[in-house]
Amino acid sequence: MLENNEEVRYQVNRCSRCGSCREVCPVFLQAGSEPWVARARVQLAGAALEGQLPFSRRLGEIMDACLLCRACVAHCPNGVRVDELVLWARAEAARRKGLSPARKVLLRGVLPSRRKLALISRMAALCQRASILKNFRGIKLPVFHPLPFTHLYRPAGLKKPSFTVAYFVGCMTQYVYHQTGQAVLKVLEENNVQVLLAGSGCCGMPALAAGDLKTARLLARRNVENFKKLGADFIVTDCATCGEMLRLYGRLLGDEEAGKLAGRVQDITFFLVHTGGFHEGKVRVPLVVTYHDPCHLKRGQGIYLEPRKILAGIDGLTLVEMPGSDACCGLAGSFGFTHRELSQKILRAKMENIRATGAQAVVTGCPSCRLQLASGLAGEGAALPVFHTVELLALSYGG
Amino acid sequence: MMRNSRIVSRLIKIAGKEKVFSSPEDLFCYSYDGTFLSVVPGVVVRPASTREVAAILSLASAEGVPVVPRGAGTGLSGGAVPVEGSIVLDLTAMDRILEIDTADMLAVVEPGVVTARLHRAVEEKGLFYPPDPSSSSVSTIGGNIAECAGGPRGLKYGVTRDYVLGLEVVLACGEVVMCGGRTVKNSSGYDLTGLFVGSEGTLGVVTRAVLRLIPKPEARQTLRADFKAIEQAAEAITAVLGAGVVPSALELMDDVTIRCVENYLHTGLPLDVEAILLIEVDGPEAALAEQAGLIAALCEEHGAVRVRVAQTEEEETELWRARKAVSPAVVQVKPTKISEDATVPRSQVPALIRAIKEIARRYRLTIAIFGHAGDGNLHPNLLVDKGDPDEMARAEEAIKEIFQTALSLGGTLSGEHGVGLLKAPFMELEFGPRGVAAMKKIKESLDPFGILNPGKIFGRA
Repeated sequence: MLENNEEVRYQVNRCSRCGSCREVCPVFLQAGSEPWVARARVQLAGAALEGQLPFSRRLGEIMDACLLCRACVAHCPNGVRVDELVLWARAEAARRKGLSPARKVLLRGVLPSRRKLALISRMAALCQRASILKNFRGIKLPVFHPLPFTHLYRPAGLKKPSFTVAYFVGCMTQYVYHQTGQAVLKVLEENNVQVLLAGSGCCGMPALAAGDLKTARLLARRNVENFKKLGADFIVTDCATCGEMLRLYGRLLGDEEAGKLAGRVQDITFFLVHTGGFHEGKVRVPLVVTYHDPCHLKRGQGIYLEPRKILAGIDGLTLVEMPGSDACCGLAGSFGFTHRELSQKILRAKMENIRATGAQAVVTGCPSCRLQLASGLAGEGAALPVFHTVELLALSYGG
Repeated sequence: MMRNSRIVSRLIKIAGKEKVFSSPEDLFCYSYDGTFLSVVPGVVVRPASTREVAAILSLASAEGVPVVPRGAGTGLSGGAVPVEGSIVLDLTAMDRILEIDTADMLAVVEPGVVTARLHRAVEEKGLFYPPDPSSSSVSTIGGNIAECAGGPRGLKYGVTRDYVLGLEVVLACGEVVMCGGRTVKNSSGYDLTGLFVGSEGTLGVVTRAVLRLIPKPEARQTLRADFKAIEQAAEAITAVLGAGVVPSALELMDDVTIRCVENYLHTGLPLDVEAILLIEVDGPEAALAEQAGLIAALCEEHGAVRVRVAQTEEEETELWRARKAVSPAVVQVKPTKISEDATVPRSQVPALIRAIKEIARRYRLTIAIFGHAGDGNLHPNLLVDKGDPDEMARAEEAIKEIFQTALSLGGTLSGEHGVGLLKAPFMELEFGPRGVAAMKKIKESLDPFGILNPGKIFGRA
């Protein structure tokens, strides 16, 4: 979050224009010309800031074609926060010119309303039962549930829990991947952690990524109030993207209390490895898997050893690393739908790396990546299943 | 925006709509290279073939529009910074490796091939393309040829010039010429290949290159030696080379650089020494231990306070980590770094370093000196803030003095970055008016209308 023009200028000035990002930017590697590389986005942000270029439609197109994957940030010799400059440019464009009508409807009308999200999910589920809406814009959609996760599942009450955590159920777990939510409950309860369900709505990332700070702050404020009411020791999430977003709340809201709460947000794998601890399962899970590092987990939160540690403890399971395990899968939220061709090209490179490992399944820590990987893996040859890390741990717990 | 929209539509006819950019935003993205300079061009085109390049150049010739060829845009002398109203020729779409011939040990490539991709491709076949500028993971062969790029391996293996056997070049008028060929030896006619290498896009546009390859060295070994005085390091270098060992890399970091890196990495680099040398030898595995031992002994003999020889790959990576961290480390001090590449005969390295330190003191600037000490190619990096006009003015004066010093020590303005725009004002200092005039005659005969990358090397008229 760049708060003011000075911070934007500081980041732009740190760019020495060396062009190192040409090696790693997934969008540039597919598109090939300078406007699509991180260096160009930094320079354009600077030009827009100084009024050399207007916040034009073309500028918007270039800024929108960024995955926010941070491969450039990690690679940049000067550590320029390209992702934050892109977010600034998107927010500034929205502030000056307003959101597009479609975005306005989705971000202001639908996203903040749990009722509407549930309704959409239910309609999608019904359509899918009638064999329509299995694909959307070339992406194979996962199966939607007619009812949200939090309506169907309740955590057990433990007698003497070692910790109490608020489980922030992200939209994807809420409406699509119930198996992840079930695994989170099981694994935490097995390890004597009391779970409270945070009556979850959207974390706000889709709004932040689209430059809609107003909606992002509205959702953040609502979640913060909710966490305060629950008063748990920690807040855990199974979604890399939600996790990164929740941890940004302090800066997004400019509020010390929100910042303190954000400091207690932990990805489920981080919580298990560092905070709550976990015991190993007794049931063998004889699988050869490979692990995909979500951008929002590895570069977003520095979490990549933790899931591997959990996988290493599962009896019978073999992890085969793929080259470029931390390369973006190309979905990046709505990017996969708005920039379909580019997204699919980025995915193809990932698929080749996955196939080359000979793994029987793919493991990851972000439901968005999961959607994209599953869609890609269904497309060619034998479909490999995709799991969340905790689902395999839950399997090893048996029952 | 191109004032002449007729030219834009002609370019679209030649290369296709999706290969021609003319919006202000796209043009802005082609206004810079790896320096702090920028000028917005008139239009950008990404040709896909020699024929398209030829058609574009004949159009530009007929219309008298300047053309600026460009690779990855990572150059450090401003060679790819556009001229106002020019056509930028982005050659990165021509990126095929056409051939790797293991029998003749050569590769045939298009100009847009990324240097590191060529490295990987030939090394898979047991061959080796030595030039490795520090930007090699993104720079293109075309750009390397245009600027005659070097890198740490220059001392033992030479620079880009030494590996170009032949070229296909499109001249200003759009004619295509072939020079050199597929042989290591070639003494027929003028050495046009040599002329085009390092010509910075001012004489023609390279559309295909035949590159010499050599067998890949079997193994390598790295050591680090710390010296209390720069002179001791220089004497050690002379002794090593005198003993008949030619290291594949011989990198120096001065005390300012060491401090920057240590502040950044905290790996325990010595803060009480004037120079660290990183020395790498390569060749048959059996010979390396002996060579490394000899170098270590010679360094100690010449006053090294500490010598560490890497025994494992991890130790090797650890030793190189400090050198690789120089770029991120120095920008922690100030946001803008101006990287120079003044080069002197090897024996003059201590004199050049002393002089640069004196210049830094006089102009109240921080200058980190590191680089390829083995071939006399140093990189004094001026750490400044481009938002501070007073400091930038002092930097400009300091750079002028560094150039004068390097030349007075028998050196050159540029070892591997090229002259571009930044060093153009100093060409007469190096070559005198007659030397520059001779070069201009070559330029005028190959590019009579002056459309090819005008202003580079000779300065803006």
